[in-house]
Amino acid sequence: MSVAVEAQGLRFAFEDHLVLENIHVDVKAGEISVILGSSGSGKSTLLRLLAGLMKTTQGHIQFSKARYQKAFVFQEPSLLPWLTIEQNILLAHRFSKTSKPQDDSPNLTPREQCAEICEVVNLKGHEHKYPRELSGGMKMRASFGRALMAKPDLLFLDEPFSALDEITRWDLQDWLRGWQKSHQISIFLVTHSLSEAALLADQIFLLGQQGEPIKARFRFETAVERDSDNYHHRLHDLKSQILPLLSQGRGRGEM
Amino acid sequence: MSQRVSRILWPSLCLIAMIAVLEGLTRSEWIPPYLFPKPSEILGLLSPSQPDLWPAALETLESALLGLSLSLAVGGLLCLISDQMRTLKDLLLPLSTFFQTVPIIAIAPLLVIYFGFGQPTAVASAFFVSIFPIIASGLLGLEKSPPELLELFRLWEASSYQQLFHLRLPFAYPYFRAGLRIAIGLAIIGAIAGEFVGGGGLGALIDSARTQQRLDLVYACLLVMSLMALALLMLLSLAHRAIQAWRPLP
Repeated sequence: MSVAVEAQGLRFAFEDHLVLENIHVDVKAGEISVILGSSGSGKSTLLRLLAGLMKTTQGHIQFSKARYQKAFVFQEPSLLPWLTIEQNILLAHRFSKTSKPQDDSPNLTPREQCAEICEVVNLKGHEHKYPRELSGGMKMRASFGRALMAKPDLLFLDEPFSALDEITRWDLQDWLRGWQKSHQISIFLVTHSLSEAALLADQIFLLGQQGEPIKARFRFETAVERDSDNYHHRLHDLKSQILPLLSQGRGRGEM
Repeated sequence: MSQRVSRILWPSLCLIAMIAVLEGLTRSEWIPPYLFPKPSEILGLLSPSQPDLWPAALETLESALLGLSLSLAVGGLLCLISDQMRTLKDLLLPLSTFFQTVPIIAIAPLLVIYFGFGQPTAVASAFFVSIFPIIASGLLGLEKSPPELLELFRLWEASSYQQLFHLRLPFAYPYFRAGLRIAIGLAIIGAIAGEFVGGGGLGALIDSARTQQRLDLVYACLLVMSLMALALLMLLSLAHRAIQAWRPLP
């Protein structure tokens, strides 16, 4: 697979405060790359730099294509409360100047595409409800639906599962993995959950403390199923390698 | 008992009890009539046949509403312009805070010099006091959109016009509504203060009733003033409910 995104020598400082230093990231098309690190390590900042929402102080980010369609899902669903779920999902189509030509669904109107997406994210029948009428998990599904409406090549996820209960989290993680495999888009996922990283990642970038380069990088050639022996072995290996790395330079590794 | 009923019932019962106690105290002359008139006499003055009170109240209401409408138009426009011009915003915020601390009763004599006697002074006075809370709350509200939604609109490369009308103005709504609630009360106070010096309306009626020792009329005017403010606040509340029924704004 070709390299989709390559970032070299990234540095980001906010006023006099150094957040990221000498970060190298390269991601192949169709991979899930997990950015892992303790609280305050600059994970979300790195994600925003890669998405182009913030400007680097130094270094450069190269994309293999001239123009990528990007979508972002945040920790909170971040829906507009005065719009219905359908209207929220259609926002990506309505405002995005960078909308791709609808080559994969040429005869569908935006509303029909939205109806398809609602089916994909299991929100069929809830299109005309307002966000306040939905549960936290359903709102997060709508947030994913809005991202899908942009038909992204690159999907940026900033801890989207962290505010959800365990059952909803598992459900959404499994859905995301299945959807990503069938669409082969590149995903950047920020998390501080080792189990989430072990399940979803094709590769993991481990951030150290603020201002440090990437501490370690792990690559996995095969996918694992939740609760399989392979998954438990991978999680155990990750714990035994990552926790000592995070503990260096401070009292205890806090994920 | 539902919460809404109890929210109306208890204050009403308290008010009725207070009026009954005051009636008793004034009738038995525990409180002399030159200090406080009988509540029944005050309420009697509220009859529609009163020749002075209701025309004066209407004039005050008109001045307050004109001043408030001007504040909404000018204040709203200034908020939108200064949102695009950082320098104007940096100037407006401290100025609006400063002018909110200046008592209108100190400025009203100046207004009569610029606007002359009569309604223009009352309107100018209502405008002057009610515009600053509208500007302050409007500017604050426009900054209150969730940062992640602003990022999303930036990611979509939405225009600043789209950001303003589809994101920042709706999120500014609760702040603007709070500012408008304050501005309604202030517009009535401003109109009365303007009428004290410029003549006309309830302000002039209170002033002349005071000089004639007509305390019953002074209290009747105060009561009408409060009812006027309450009615306007109720209208605002109804408008808010209608908006929420149309679209659940924040």
